[in-house]
Amino acid sequence: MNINQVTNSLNHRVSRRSMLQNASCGFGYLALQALCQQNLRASETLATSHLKVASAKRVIFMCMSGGPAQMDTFDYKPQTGKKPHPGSVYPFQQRGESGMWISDLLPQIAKHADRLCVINGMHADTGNHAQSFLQMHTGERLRKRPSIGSWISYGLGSENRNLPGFISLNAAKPSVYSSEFLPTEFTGTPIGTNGENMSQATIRDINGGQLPSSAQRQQLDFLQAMNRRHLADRNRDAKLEGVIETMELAFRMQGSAQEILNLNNETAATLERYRVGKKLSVGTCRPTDFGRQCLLARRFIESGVRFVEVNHGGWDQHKNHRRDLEANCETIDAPIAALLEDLAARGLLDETLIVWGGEFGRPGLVPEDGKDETGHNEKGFTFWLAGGGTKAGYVHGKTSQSGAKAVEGKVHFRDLHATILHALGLSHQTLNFDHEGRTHRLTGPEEAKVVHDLFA
Amino acid sequence: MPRFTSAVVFLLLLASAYVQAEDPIEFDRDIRPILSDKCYYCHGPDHEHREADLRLDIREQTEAVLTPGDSEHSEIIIRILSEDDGRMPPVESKKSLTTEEIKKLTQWVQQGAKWSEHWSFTPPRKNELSADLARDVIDDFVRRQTPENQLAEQAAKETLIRRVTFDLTGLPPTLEEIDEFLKDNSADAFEQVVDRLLQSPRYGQRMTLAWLDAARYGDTSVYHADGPRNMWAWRDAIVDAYNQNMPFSDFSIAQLAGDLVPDATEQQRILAGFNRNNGTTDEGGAIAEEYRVEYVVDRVKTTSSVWLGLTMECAQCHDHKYDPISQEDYYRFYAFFNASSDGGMQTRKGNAAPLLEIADPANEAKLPSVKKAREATEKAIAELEQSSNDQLISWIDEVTKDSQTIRPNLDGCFFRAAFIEGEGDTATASLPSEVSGKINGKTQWTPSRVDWGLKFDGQTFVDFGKIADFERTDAFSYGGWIKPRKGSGQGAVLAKMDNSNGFRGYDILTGAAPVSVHLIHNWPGNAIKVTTKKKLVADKWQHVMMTYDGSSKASGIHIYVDGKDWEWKIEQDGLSETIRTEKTLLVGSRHPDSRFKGEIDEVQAYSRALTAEETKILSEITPIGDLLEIPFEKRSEPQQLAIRRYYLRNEHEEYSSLEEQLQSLTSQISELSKPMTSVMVMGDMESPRETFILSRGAYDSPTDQKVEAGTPNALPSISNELPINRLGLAKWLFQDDHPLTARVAINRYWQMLFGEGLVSTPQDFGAQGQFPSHPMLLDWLATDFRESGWDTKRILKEMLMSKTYQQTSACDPEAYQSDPGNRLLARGSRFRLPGESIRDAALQVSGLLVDQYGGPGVKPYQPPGLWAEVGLGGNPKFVQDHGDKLYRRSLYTYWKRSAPPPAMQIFDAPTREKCTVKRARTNTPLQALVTLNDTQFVEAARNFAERILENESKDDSNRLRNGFRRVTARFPKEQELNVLLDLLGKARQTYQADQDAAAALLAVGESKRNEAFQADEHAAWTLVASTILNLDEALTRE
Repeated sequence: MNINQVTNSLNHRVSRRSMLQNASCGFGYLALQALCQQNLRASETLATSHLKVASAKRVIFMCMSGGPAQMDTFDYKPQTGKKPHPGSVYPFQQRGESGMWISDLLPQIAKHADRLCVINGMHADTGNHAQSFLQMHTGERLRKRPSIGSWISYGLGSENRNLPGFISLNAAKPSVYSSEFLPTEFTGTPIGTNGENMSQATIRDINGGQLPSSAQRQQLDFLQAMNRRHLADRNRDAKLEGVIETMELAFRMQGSAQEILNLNNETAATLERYRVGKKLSVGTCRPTDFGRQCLLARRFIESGVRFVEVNHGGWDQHKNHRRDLEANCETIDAPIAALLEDLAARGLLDETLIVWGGEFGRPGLVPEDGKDETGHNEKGFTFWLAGGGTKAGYVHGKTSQSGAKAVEGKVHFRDLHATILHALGLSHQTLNFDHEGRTHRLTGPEEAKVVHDLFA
Repeated sequence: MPRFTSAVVFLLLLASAYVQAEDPIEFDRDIRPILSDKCYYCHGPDHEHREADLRLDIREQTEAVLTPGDSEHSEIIIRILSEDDGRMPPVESKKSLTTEEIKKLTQWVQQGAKWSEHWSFTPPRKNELSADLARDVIDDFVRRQTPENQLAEQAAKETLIRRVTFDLTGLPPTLEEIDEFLKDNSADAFEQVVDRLLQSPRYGQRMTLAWLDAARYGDTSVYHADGPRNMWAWRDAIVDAYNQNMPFSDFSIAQLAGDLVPDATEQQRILAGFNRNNGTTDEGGAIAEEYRVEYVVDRVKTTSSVWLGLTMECAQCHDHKYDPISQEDYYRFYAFFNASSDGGMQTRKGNAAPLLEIADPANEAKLPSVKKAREATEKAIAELEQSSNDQLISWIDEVTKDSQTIRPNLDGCFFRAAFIEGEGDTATASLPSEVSGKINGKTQWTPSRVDWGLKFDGQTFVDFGKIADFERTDAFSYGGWIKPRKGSGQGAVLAKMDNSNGFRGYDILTGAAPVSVHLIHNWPGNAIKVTTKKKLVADKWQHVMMTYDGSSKASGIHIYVDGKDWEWKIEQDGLSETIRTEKTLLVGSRHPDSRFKGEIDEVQAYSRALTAEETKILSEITPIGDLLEIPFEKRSEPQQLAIRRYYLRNEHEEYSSLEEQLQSLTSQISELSKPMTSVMVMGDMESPRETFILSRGAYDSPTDQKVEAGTPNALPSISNELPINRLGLAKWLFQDDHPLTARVAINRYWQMLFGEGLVSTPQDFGAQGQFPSHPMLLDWLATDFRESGWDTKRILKEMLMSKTYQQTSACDPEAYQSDPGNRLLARGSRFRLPGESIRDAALQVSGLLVDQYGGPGVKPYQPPGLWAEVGLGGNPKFVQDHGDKLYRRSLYTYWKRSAPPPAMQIFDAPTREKCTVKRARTNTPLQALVTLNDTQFVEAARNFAERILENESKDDSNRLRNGFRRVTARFPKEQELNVLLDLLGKARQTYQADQDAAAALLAVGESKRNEAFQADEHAAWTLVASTILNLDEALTRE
């Protein structure tokens, strides 16, 4: 049999192929179900959860590790009364038609105030970085559990068959993007690990750099010819059929991912708006090429990737609070504004949920007392959402007078998780997976509330 | 009672009619899973959520809702069919019964509602069978369930040897092994292969790989910084234990309680590291108790998953919802591990106590001869001490003639710390009155030139209190005998200084470094500092004394070393205000830092500037002057000895060379006795903690309900002869009446050889687990395993020798469709190899594999940034190894648990942060990217191509056959060969036209290329080799 004959013999598989292409929940998920005879609970789940109306299709998760200082960014705490108390030490202005208070440290983002949905009553369980950062991603702070991006791509698959459903840019440590007990294909695909030069970063092994693309295509054709021959011998073993499919996917992924990572077709003006390549390294503020991350996030979202995580580390400004905070804010301000602007202009903001925040917040400084040092505060901090059906120009919840703790409209990580799933048309109660004798879900055994007030 | 609708009546009638024609219902297989999944949440073991006080997991309680043989009058059936509010399960539970399930329940009641205890909680029995050999018993049981009671035909010999070699060693067979097997037509040819493989050291490596997942083995500590630890000696002991075929009982008991086994061997004690493989933390902000509890919880979970196949952890917060494990049972089990002595805060830098040090066998062998040499030297020294008596007496006469050399009478000495104590943690200073100095840090007295001195390790210092309160206008001198440690920088020998108040005070700093003196009011604006141009010699006693005339000028300072006035340079010279401070006088440090490293003796301070002559005398006086002043008859034995030693050391050349020799032998011995590594092991506290049930499992919410260690009530009780500790617990697992241990172990062996266990949930043999596909077979094998003395190699061999194992995995499409998961075992099983085997096989066929046994983990190719972690600096960085370490078996790859080797993870290896007894087997595009593009695999393809090219035959077809067989074990078919030849031809064209592409391909990997092969030809073959390595057949055990 030569290669053409092999190809012809595959024609009868077209129906399967088109079935996979048309499946709403994407290739990987269905194939897995069919191939591995996994228990079908999840698909039942999926069927019911799909009955709900989704206001968002995709998520950009902006992870600000270290604990951003909410009182100098989004949670305005002016001095009240005669006795000085911790609060905002930078000037704030009311912005847009909503009159939302946003700090002068974020002038570009402030222009989009009427697109933001700010949650000022966030609270978490621990002021310990690693644990809280893990909880922010997985719902659990001690034990390893699937990441929110894994749950979502498990629930919804990828819209693009040539790309993974969950991508983490400038990735943190693997436990926060791991699928753990969910099938491996739902693990986040890291592009650049923390500290790596983002302009060089790519999907591991995606670049068959040692082979010209034509040679690799050739190799793959022959490889597949051999496999198909073998498949004929094996009498249509579904597992083998799956392998052949995924090899094709691997090859296509090489093309698609490389194309998205290559910014050559972006205009100089766009690169400038996103501040691509601008890297500030000041104190705790890391040179993360955040602008490139935001632009890549837009490009992946445009290509149908379900969940894109962008990371900026360095908000843990203990000493030199002011200097480092200014650098952190400068790093994220223009890129995020450009991203919001582009998504809105392309009509993508309506269906893309943006989530911004860190593992906890910080206590405020007392104006004029000369101190420039802050610690951690998990009892009250800020997250904001934008797009994906959330209420625009809206502020939810509040913290106490000195910002020390959330007092109204309190939202825990598990509530935030439930809310994000809800936006995607998934229910935190039914998006679950049986593992080791019990049913797991992102929000864990505790009750979690969807914060309906956040939606328009 | 709810009214029936006509539809319900119809259904009931239908169900009863249906029953006659159906197979008998088996409670365990058909009914319990339904009750467990749909009813136990409210009517099961958990008393907190129980509704209507009804339990459906206890037979007696079901009687109230059941009328055996009469489903129409059984409340349970009525309620599940009801359409009103009484319907079960209720709507709000979000659980519902399928028609199939309702049918089964109805049939069950109609057939008499037979009940049995949960299968896995009753001990396994051997059902009477005609066959003697386990292998025939296996086939017999399997045939009972296959279509027409048939097994598939035997797989081709090539398939068989490849299958069994991968299964038992994790590697493919070599060409020679394949050929030998193909040639051997004897009846026991396969048995010989099995025996050979079971004897191979690679067998232990393969078995260990599966065990490492269960034991959550790693080379790092998991939490926070996930820093390094050393547990590889434990891993190597596991490989040895498998290769020695240690009975599974001994193997297990040592791992759970090797530390408690009486007269344990070193191997048993090392194996006790099993439950120290859990993740640990050392994070500053973490709460130690929270983590300590988490370690206990992890040990309970791991132990129960691995040996009991139970999800015991479900009962941490509440009674188990499905299995008869109460929260009290949980904490009784927990109490065994709550006695552990390791703490909540451990370390990210190596091993935390309790640990076992392991000697290096090579060094141990050298020890006896060195020890012998040291004994001989000691003897020679003792003899010399005896024989030198006369010389000593005449020397004493000589030196005592001149009193000046013995004891100069220097005025103005008001502080003298002679360090004569030799024990205790205070040093006394005399003159004018006695002051006690408290020794802080580690106290290490050390023999000095005469009596004793004090060793300072960088933490030690002596605090003499508020004395020696000099002003800048006073004249004074201070110093002493110093022996700086090799390589040490400057540290304070003596200081009275307040770092926090502009460094006010005075000091003298040195080390194996220059000597500096500070007199400071406020550093650096108002201070004097001078530093000598020369350095002190390391590891040698030197007399150092500073003198100062009270002039507030640098020129008023002299620094004398061994009586010589050393030249210094000025670093500050502007002192005009007070240097007095409230701080105390310290020897060996300042407040609070600048610590001296080395030895100090005879520290003195004078309230005047000594002259050059006086410092010379001080440096030359016989330090035993004090002793010589004591009349001979009043000298104590130690005093006499001190005088003798001083004489011999300073005046007797042979003696000092003997002492040097002794010193060198002693340090050799200490070097050779240094442990090669250590391993963390379990250890119990002397008096164990009390265990209280934790409310909702929270570490900070203990209830007042105290429990004693014990085993779960639903399982056989622990024998009276056994101690109530971990050792008792471990032995309890191997009691003859234990229902779980043997079944759980056998099931994992079956899973390894057949791809899927007889119970497909190896971690859960409880009500929520899967019922065995072949329950009687499982029981028979479990019993046989126990009766054989838990002989692992034997039972594996029986499985391998069965016809069931040897079946071909090919089958017709209908058979495949009817049983895609091969639960009936009517054909051989076929599955993707574990990632480790895929990598190891590529290394072996390419000739790169370095088959070295044991040792620390190695770091092959991996992206460099992977270990980087958000929010934490100063963590270990990934540094890739080179040379042989790139090509070791994957078992030996360094396992950083927060960032395990990505290529292995992509092939479903767990992170090993927690116990895993069954790996997923997924199929993702990233896998193809690894085997096609990863450096390790591209390099393997290049080397594989070299091996193919080295083949004697220059014929392309022959070469291809050879390469194809190395990977798949079989000959390629004609068509396959043609496809490969076609590819080779195209690849040649590509690379002949593009030499740069050829060079780029051949440059991948660090191994050297054989330049004898032309680059384009080598590259073309590399492409072909890579294609063969990427065949599905190459990645699959057929």
